[in-house]
Amino acid sequence: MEASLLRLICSKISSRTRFFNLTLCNETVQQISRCSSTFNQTQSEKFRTAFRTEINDPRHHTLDHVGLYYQIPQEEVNGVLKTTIKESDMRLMKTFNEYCLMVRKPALELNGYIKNFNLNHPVPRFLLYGLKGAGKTCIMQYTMQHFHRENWIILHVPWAGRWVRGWYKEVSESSYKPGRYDTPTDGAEWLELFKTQNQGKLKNLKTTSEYIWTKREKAEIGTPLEEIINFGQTRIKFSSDCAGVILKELRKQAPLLGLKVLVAVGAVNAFYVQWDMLNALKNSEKKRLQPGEISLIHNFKKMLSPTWTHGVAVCTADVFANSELTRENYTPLYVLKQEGFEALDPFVPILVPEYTDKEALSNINYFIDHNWIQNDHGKTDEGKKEIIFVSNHNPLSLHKICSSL
Amino acid sequence: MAALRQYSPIVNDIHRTFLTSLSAIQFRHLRSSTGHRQTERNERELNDSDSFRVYEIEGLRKSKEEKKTRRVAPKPFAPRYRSMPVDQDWTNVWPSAATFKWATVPFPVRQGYIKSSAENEGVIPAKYGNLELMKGPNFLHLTPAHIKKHCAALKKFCTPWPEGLETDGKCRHHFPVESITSDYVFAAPSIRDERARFVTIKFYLSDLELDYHARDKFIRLVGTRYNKDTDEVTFESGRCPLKAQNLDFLKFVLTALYFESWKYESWEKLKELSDMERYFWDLNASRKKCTSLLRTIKSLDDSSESNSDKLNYLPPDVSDDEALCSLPEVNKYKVAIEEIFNEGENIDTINQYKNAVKTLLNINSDVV
Repeated sequence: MEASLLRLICSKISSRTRFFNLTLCNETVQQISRCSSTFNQTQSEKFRTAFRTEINDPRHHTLDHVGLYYQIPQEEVNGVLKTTIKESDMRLMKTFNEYCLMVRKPALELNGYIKNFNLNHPVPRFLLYGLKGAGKTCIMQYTMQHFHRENWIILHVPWAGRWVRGWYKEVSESSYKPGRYDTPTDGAEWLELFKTQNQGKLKNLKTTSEYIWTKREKAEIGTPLEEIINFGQTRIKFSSDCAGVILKELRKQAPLLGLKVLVAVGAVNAFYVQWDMLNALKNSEKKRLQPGEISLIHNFKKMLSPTWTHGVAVCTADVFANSELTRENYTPLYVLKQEGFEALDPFVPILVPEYTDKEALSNINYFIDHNWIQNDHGKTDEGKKEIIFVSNHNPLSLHKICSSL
Repeated sequence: MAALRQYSPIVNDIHRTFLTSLSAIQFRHLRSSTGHRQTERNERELNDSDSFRVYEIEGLRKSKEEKKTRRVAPKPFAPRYRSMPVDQDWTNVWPSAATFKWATVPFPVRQGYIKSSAENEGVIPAKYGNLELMKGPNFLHLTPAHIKKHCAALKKFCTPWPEGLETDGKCRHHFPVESITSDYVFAAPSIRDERARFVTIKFYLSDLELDYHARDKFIRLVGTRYNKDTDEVTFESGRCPLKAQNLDFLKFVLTALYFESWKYESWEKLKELSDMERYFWDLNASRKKCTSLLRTIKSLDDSSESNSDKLNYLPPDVSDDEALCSLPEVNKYKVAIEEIFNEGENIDTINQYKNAVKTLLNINSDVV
């Protein structure tokens, strides 16, 4: 009886861990030896799943790695993923002394679309939508890391809602075009982010037309893009214009130089839906600005229209960038409103679902492994089931619940 | 005689007492008559001891033995339901509409509200003297047996059901307009009731011959009188004093509306995109964007050397908009986007849109 049971378990576990590395196999061997001791134990081992993979390169992840954690190196966290990771997640990662992200199915699906896409065609638009806390931003991070490793240039807006609101934020009329408004601090911030995320990729890029800032200052043809960035950072009055120049040059040069550009915009609905709360940006006449009147947004909207090639745009739809009265649903048309939908159309909507049982268990096991869950009941099968039930499979609420266990 | 002899000691006792009382009669004339027993007691006192007689003032002391005779109310009859046979004809018991009578209703029924378990011992009041049951209307005069009797009484006035109108569908086909009127009958000096003038007519919009424009205009003209879910239009009128006048008026309204909705006024050509009742892909910017995008892709495909990842479904000539839009891939996309706007977003319409866009732009993933 026991021998046949052992054989059964062995076959099951080996089929599950076929793709995992050696260390995991060792672990499962230990499991098997424990499993064989009593029947009751085998029941409880049913829920014991591996939660890590040693394949830390997103390019090599397959469907077999869904729900497993992989490690992100420190330099990428400070480089390409800078400011994309939420502050609370960052604190948790620092506590664990490692930067880990879960491989999820929509991320693999999205990366598959981008990999197979013919870049000679105009930019395709992908829209990640889902419930709050389902992991839209994390999937965007995953995609950014994946294509950063393939040497794509990354244009990233962490959360576009920041660009349309702010108490006492400086707003000045654009010197380039009247009726449009610059937000110098946002522009400089974005230039800094762009520089850090694309270290070492901008060396050979030079401007192809002349840009006149003032009567005395201008950028000649052939000015390196890095110089433009530095100019924007020192003269932040022109930071929005500099950002516009960079975007324009990349649109123009991507097909010529064979560059690959990934545009990643968080909460893209802020580009199209008017923010009408008190902290909305206003011009000198106290009139609320339309999103399209802000230079940065105007420039980024051009990146989202299929007028250029050799690029891909990935956006998230975050209903929390819209006003409080319209946050009942998370579907694309509801979040983007008709204007935004028509601007992005045709796009590929990708649903980011909440955790499956497997992913939720993997998350809990990861927390247990790092002693984040210290309550003894939380480590039992019953406790795990309870956590999953109480969090309703939502990653964010699972995180919140586990922080007090 | 034997029985008398057996009870002879008792008979003797009675006899003796009788004699004593006879001997006392001689004193009786001294006082006004009082109760027989009191006399007896006084006389006994007189005989027992040699004390004075006591003059008794009538009414001074209340005599205990005085008997009050009170009239006892006759007991009520047992409630009627107790004596009802099980197989009685209920229609005779409760022939017409009446207030609830507890004694006549042969089943237990409770009605009312108790504030707490302390009130009425926590039980909802039973039917006896229950005002709550009397307040509400009852249908004890409309049981199946009653209805059967009514029908039997009415049957002699009925004519056979017309042939060819066996089903509701056939009725609707032959009589598409349904008119509803009411008559009010009562005993009063005047038999007129002003409520009787109201007329309602109902019909299905699909029974009218209308094209898309006329139908849309008709719906806009009738406003809330059209029920979208049942496709039914309801007109009601009470503006004229007589029923026949109101009916004529409604017929006129229906005719006028029908012909009015077929008319095409000059100002209707000014209808803009925002006035549209539905999302039409052909009129929206989406079509223009889509065709121009496909043309761009075609020109890019033509100029590139490699053969892979091209949009193979595009014809060699893409200059004609109509030809482009009639391609199955584009048509699928059109249907999908129209459904998202017209039917609303749900997991089906969004997935349909996603798949349509994927085929339209040739976007594929190994992981699906």
